[in-house]
Amino acid sequence: MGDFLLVTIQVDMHDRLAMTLQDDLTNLISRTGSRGVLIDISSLDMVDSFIGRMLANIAQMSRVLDARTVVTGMRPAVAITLVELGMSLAGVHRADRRAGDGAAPGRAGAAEYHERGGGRGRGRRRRGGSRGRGRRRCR
Amino acid sequence: MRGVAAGLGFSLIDQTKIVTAASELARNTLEHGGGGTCRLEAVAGSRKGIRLTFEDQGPGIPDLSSP
Repeated sequence: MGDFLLVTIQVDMHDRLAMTLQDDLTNLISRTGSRGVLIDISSLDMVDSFIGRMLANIAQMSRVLDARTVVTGMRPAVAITLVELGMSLAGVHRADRRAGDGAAPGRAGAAEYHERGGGRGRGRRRRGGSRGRGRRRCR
Repeated sequence: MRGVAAGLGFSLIDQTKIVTAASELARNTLEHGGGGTCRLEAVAGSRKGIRLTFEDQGPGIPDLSSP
């Protein structure tokens, strides 16, 4: 099983930061041969079209590189709002961790995640260090 | 803004919709309107509510339906 990159978004992303994230992830996927990106948005109490576009872009770029994008932690109020906004997170898979699953994403891989529906997207993104944008889990 | 909405008694879902709509409007105001203002008012009366007014001096969108 290939690696999954883990990204936790904890901040309001401004445009440049979002572009940086997209570029960084693309480079990282390409360089590490990762099978996918897991984007944790559980800290976001709002996802607007800007963030939605960013997630869809990441999904598109990773797909070109034969990797998958999975978004996890979407809050119910956010999900409802996205649906009513008519926003489709094209190409973005959604997944939720089962309760009690304390395993790191890399260890869990795809098997422990319950996947729902496919494709239809205020903190500070941490930079640097092993807890930065791309945390690699080796399998 | 979310705090104001919460204080007015809006549900979590409605709060999220409000701040998301506000984010979209703010973005439009900045990107297409060349900047502008946002006014937030609490509405009292028979129905309580929140009013957000975004104003810019941008060119607007042409009326595609007119000849």
